[in-house]
Order: sequence, then structure tokens, then C-alpha cells
Amino acid sequence: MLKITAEPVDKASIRRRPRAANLVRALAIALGVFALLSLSVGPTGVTLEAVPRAVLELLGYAERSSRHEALVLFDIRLPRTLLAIYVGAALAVAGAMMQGMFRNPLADPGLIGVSSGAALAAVSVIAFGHVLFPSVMVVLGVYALPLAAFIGGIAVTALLVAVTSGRRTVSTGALLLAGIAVAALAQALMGLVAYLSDDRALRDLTLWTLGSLAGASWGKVIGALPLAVMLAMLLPRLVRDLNGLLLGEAEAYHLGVDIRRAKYLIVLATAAAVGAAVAVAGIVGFIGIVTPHIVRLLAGPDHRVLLPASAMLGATIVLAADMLARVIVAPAELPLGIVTAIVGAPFFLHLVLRRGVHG
Amino acid sequence: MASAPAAVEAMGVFFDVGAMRLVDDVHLTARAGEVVGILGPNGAGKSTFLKLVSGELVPTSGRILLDGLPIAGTEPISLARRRAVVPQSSQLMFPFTAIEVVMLGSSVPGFVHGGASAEAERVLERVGLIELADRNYTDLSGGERQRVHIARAMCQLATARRLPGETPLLLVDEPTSNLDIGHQRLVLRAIREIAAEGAVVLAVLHDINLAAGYCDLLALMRNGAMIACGPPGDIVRDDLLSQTFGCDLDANTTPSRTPFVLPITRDEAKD
Repeated sequence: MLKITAEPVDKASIRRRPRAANLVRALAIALGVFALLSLSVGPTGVTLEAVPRAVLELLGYAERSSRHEALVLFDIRLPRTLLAIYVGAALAVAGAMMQGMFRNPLADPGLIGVSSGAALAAVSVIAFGHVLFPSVMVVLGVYALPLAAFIGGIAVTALLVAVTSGRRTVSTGALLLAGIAVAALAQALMGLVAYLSDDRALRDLTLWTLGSLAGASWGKVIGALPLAVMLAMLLPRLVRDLNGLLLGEAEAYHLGVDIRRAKYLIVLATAAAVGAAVAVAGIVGFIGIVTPHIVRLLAGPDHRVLLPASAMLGATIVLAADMLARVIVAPAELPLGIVTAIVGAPFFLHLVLRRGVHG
Repeated sequence: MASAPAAVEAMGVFFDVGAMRLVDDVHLTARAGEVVGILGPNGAGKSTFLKLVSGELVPTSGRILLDGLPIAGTEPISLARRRAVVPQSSQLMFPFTAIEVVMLGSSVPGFVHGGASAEAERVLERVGLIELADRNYTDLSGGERQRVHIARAMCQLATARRLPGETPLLLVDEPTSNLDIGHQRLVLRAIREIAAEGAVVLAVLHDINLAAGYCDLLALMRNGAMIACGPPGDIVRDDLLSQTFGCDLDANTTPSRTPFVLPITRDEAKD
């Protein structure tokens, strides 16, 4: 028998990057700050100091001085803030998962067509759902779009897994080209859907492809909730598998990872994340690539830190981007995807130029 | 040791890919404490055979038993508690530090997690990499990376909780291909120590002399078949090796009775 020399060691001596715990703490604080800022920014002049008053009012501890303030905060800004947090966290985590599964730091749900697949499914449901399956749509209610986007996301992710399966590393070139083809097809079909449908859906299409949180509502929050819960339940089970997969599929198997099961769960989790994000906000690009990259620079690629830290940083970034989208051209607002792309696309280009597409 | 039951037993193992037969009726028995060197020319099926033993590939026919139970069909998790693999090369593109890669070896559920970092430091020391523990893996040289993966496999076997009667199995595919002669010896000595602690080691090796010096058994493969298997003295022979590798080889023994082999270059030099 091999000697087991391992003895109980106190947690402090376990070698971890010293910055990991601090990073998680700092990100949690940043997220809280930006969430409060997000609640206080808007064209109606309701500011941060109204938040505690409104909370007290809601709980019945203060007189209802201004129904207007509470309405703005709870019916408009709070769901928008919650959705921004979910969209940012989900897209960042989805990016981290895809990068781990494909062993390629440049994989991103937007770039490789998963978001487009989800959006196509969602747009199709908007355009044809009420005509083709009116009773199903009534039954599904607010869950119809997230469910459709989830299924669209699964289809694209599973396709990419099938195409790239069994290779030691998936070259950035092959992955991006396959993704570009899938995304182009999905976008063309979205155009076709828009062409075939009435004006309302057509107008929505711009928002879908550019991404926006302007339509935030409690209905959307509730609609995305099942997928958010599913994602939160899957993530802790995937940490070890993803760490193993970074070494390669064979190496992960040697470490006891059931590869088929792991891929199946990663596809489900990615599709849940992207599906819900796309269903509530359309295609918001580059969060999935920028966020995990920054976290890896600060805390390394261990998914025990990478997944929670990416979720918090992604949420913070989307909160910030959404505030920019709201104030830059106030009282109008920019689509969120424009803001994230203006920041994210040059960042992506920088990564590609530094690594080369074969890397 | 000869009386110990077989820990690893391959019986009539075939592996076909399409019409190609990559492994052809291989039989092999290895006991706890033994280091088995697998030798043979390129394309002989050595790595494929190792993958069959690791459970990564499933034999087309025949069986490979680990402690009497077939490897094919064993859950990845319970296999990982007993068997570690050092790959020929690994394409890690993410900036783990060396010690973080080693500690991935102890990420299997049911392992002794508390002392994982102490164990990781111990095995890094053993492969001579402790100074580079916090260096980024992606910044290491080929030979240093190879030793990191050897340390990772050691960490996996050392932190696993095995049941009584379960033999640890270490599979290594050309562990010394990128190493200088000093580190070759360091790694093979570490491998010997693991065997001495009760493990079975199957190692695909290219350097016949290194294999002869450190292995208990040498298995000679050619065209997918195992053409000979025995103690180094029986395998390191002019005729057998020359025939296997298809070139003229001259076998001899050192004064301390370790067999070695040299390519015959005298005639070529005269030409």
C-alpha cells in the first residue's frame, strides 16, 4: 500500500492564491454598490436616498409619502437590476464553462452562436407561437420564451460539442468558424422570421440582436427563475469536472470524471444560463469572454474561484453597462449590447492578436 | 513477490479500429511492487495498450483485470482511486501554477483533501520541482511539464482512499522523453519507490538501457503483439532486440550485471 502521508492540516496552510479570497470579497462589495447605484439611476429623479424610505414604506413602517417613488423603485428599477445581475452572472458563467469544456479561452456563447440559437428560438416563439400553439402559449405564460431560448441554446451547444468531440484541444479557428456559421444561419433565420411576421415582432428583433434590459418586468424575472435555479444547482457539481477538463478529456477521465455525464451537464447548464439571459435581454455580447479572462488573470483558472467570481464580476459589468446605456443618451436609451460590444470587441481582438487563432 | 496474486492481468486482449488491428492478443501479468517496462518500435501499439489498461479504451475482445475485476465497466471515480496516468503530453492552455496542477490529482471525491497541499509539495520535491511550485505551468519547459504530470499522478495515488486489497496502479507513457539524463534517473527512481510502496507500474519507455536498469519485467511489443516478456536479462539480447526494432543492436552487460544495448555503428562508420 502507498503510504498516506497526508495529515490534517489547518485550512490556512492550504496553498491557494492569496488573492482569491480577497477578490471574491471585493467583487461582492462592488456588486452590492453597483446594484444600489442601478436602483438610483434613471430619468425620473428618484435617487438612492429614496431606497431605504421605500423599503420602510413597503414593510409598513413609514407613511406612504410618495407612491411614485415606490412604484419606480419596485416595479421598474428593481426587476431591471435583478435581471442585469442575472444576465451578467449567467453569461459570464456560461463563458467560463464553455472555455473549460472546449479547453479554449476564447470560447464565448455570443461568438460561437449559442446566443443566436437561443434568440432564434425565442423570436420564433414571439412571431408564431400565438398563431400556431395558442393554448400552449397560454399555459406556459412567462415561461414560454425562456423555455424556447433554453431549447435553442441546447441545440447549438450540443451541435458544437458533437463537432468538436474527441479532439485533444479545439483550435480557436475551428471553434470560431463553426460558431460563425451557426450564428450566421441563426441570424439569417431570425431575419426570415421577422420578414414573415408582423411589425411588432420586427421591431422587437432589433432589441433581440442588440440586447436590452429596457423591457424589464417582474414577469421576466419570474420567467427566468426556473432556469436560474437549475443553473445554480448544476454549477457546484461541475467545478471538479471543469477543472479536470482543463487538462484534457483523457486526463479528466483519469481523474475520475465521467466525461459523457460532465459534457451533458455542462451543455444543460450553459443552455440554461444563455437561454434565460437571451429570453430576458436578447443577445448581449462579450460578457462571457471578458469576465472569466479578467478573473483568471487575478485568481487563476481554478473553477472553485472562477465560477463564483465570474458570476459576481459579470453581474457588476452588466449593471454598469446598463447604467451607461440608460444615461448616455437620456432620456432615450441605448441597447445594452451596443455598450458591451464597444468595450468587449476591442478586448476580444486584443486577445486574438496576442494568442493567434491557432492558440 | 512471486507468490503475490496478479494485480494487473491482461488476457487475450485485442483492439481493432476499423480493419486495423492495433493490439493483437496481448497477455500480461503484473504483481504489486513490480515495474513493467513496455518497449517496442514506434507504432507497435504500446500507448494503445496503456490506454486499454487505463480504461480509456475498451478492448475489442479479451479482458484486463485489476485485482481480479474487469477495468472496462468500472466507474471512472472508483478507477481513479486506484489508477493514475501520466500522459505522453498534455495541452494545458490555462495558467495554473505547477502545484495547482499537481493538486488536481487529489480532486477526486473521497480523497484525503485536508493534506493535499502538503502531499503536493512532497511529490514536487520528489521530482525536483519544489522551487517551481508557484510558477505558471504554461511557462515551464517540456521536461518540467512532464515532471509536473508525474507529480500529479503520484499525488493522486497518495491521497486516494483505497479499500484493503486494492492495488494502486501507475501508468506512464514515455515519462522520460523530454528529460535530461539526471532527471530521467530521478523520475525512474521515484517510480521505483512507488512500486516499492506496493503499486504496480506499467511504463512505456524508449530508452532500453534505462528500462533494463529500473524495470523488473520488460515487455516487448511489435505490430500490436507482445512478442516477449520477462526479466531484463532475458529480453536485452542481440537477436530479440535487433529483430524487434529492425536494426543491428549489440547487447552486453555491465560489470554489475545490468544488461545494456548499443546500436552497431562500426560498419556504417567504415563505409
